Amino acid sequence: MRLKALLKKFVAPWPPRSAVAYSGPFAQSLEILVLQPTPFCNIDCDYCYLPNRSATQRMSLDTIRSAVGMVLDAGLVDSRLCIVWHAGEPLVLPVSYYAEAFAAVEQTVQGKFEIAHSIQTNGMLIDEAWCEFFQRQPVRIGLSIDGPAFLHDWHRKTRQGKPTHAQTLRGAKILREFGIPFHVIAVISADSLDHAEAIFRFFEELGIAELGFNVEELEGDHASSSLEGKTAAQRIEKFWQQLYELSEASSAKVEIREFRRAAKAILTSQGERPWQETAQQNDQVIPFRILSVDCHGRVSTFSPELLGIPSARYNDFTFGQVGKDDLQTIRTSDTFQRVATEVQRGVESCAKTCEFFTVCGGGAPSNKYFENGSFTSTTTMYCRTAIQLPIQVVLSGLERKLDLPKRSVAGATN
Amino acid sequence: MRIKFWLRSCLHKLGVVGASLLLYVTPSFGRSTQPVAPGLNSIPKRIAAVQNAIKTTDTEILKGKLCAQWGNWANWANWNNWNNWNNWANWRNF
Repeated sequence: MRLKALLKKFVAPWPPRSAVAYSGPFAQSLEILVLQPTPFCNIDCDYCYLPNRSATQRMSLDTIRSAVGMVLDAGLVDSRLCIVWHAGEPLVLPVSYYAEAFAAVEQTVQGKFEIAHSIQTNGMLIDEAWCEFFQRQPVRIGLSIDGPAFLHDWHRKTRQGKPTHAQTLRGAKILREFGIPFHVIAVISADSLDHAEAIFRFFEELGIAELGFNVEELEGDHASSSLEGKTAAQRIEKFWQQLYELSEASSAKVEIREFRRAAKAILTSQGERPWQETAQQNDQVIPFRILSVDCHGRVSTFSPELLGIPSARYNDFTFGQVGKDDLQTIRTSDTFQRVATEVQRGVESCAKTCEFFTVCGGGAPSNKYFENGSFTSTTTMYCRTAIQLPIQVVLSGLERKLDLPKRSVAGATN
Repeated sequence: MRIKFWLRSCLHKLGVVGASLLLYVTPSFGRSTQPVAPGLNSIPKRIAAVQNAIKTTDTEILKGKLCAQWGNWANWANWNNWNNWNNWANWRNF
C-alpha cells in the first residue's frame, strides 16, 4: 500500500492528467436542478457540512431565470423540470421571495414543461402563511427530524444551543392541519444506533409514510463522523437489520427510502454489462444529471455537496457561472474536465473491484473526495453504511421470503 | 551534469519497472479493496438468484411470499417497471 502510494506521488502520469479529455457519458436529461437560494441557516446542527451557513446572501431573480434558461437552452429538460430548493434553511427567506421565484421559473419555462418544486426544511419556520402558499403552489416538502426529542435535540440545536424538536413538530402539525403531505429525512449518528425501535415507533406514531435516513457523513465542514470505526460499523449493521424487521412487522405503511432504493436496485440490476452502462443508474457520477447553482450563480455538477467547498485544485468546484457560461462552455472548462475525468476513473475502479457495483453504479464522488481525498478512489464509509448494508439487509430478506438457500451473513467487505 | 541527470532518470525508470513487477507478482499487495468474489455468496450471484426465483415462481405463490409491506406485489413480479417511480428524484440523499 505504501509503495503504491509512493509510486503515485513520484511517478508523473503520462499523458499528464490535466490534458486528458473527459471521454465518459453526459446526461441526456436533467434529473434535478438544485438551487441554493441562501447559504444561511437559522440553526446550527453539529453534523452540518455547509461552510457558509452564517452568510445571508440570497439568490437574485435574474440568477434564477438564468439558471433555468441555461438548462432549457441545453435541451436538458425532456418533460419535467424538478427544482430542489436546498442548502442552508430555504424557509428563512420569506414567502414573497418564493412567490416571485416560482413566477420567474414559470415565465422562463413558458408552459413548455411541467415544473416540480421541492423544499427540504427543518420545519421550524412553517406557519399558516407558508401552508397557504404550499396550497396555492404545490411543493414537495421534506422535513428534517432525527427521531424522538432526546436524539433530535442532541445534534440539532439553535445557535444559542437550544433544542429545536418541539418547534419542528409544531411545523409538522401545521402542515398536517392544512393537509399538506411531507416526507422525513433523519440523520443517523452513533447516538441513534441503539435506538432503532424508538426511532421507528416515533415516526410510525407521527404517521410518516416516507422516511429516509442519511448516515452522518464526513463532508465539507464536518470533518469527522461518529460512525467511523469498526464498532460503529457493527452497530449500524444491527441498526439497519432492526429497522428492516420493524418495518416488515409494522401494520403502518412506513416506507423506508434506503430499503426501497435497495429493492429497486436489486430487482432492476442487469448483472454484468459495460461499466459505463451500469454507471448510468448513479445520478452523482453522470455530468449534468444533477446541476447545482448557489446564490451567486456558480454552477457545479456531480454531488451537490461539492458546490461551495473550498478547493484551490478544483476551483471550489465551480465549473461556470449562470448568465455568463452555457453548458457547452462549462463542459470544456479545465476544472470540469479534471473533475469529470477523475470521477470517471473512480467509477471504473469501483466496477473492477466492488461486488456492489451492479447495484450502485460507482458511489458518491463527494464522499470519495471528503473521505479518501480523491475522486479516483473507491469504497467509502458512506458506501458501506448507506449503500452496501441496506442492500445486504434487503437481499437477505428477499432470499428468506423466496426460500432461497441461506447465504453469507450480512457484513459489507469492500 | 548531464550524466548525473541521465543516471537519475535510469534509476527512476528501473524503480518503476521493479515496483510494477512486484505489484504484478503479488496480487494482493498494494490493493486497498478485494477483487470481486466469484463464489455463490457474491452479491451479483445472489441478486441473479433472487431475480430468477421471482421470474420462475408462480404469481399466486409469489404474492403469498412477498408480503404487502413491500407495496404492490405486481411490481415485484414485473420488476422491469420499477424505473417508473415518480418523485424519486426529489427525495434523494443530500
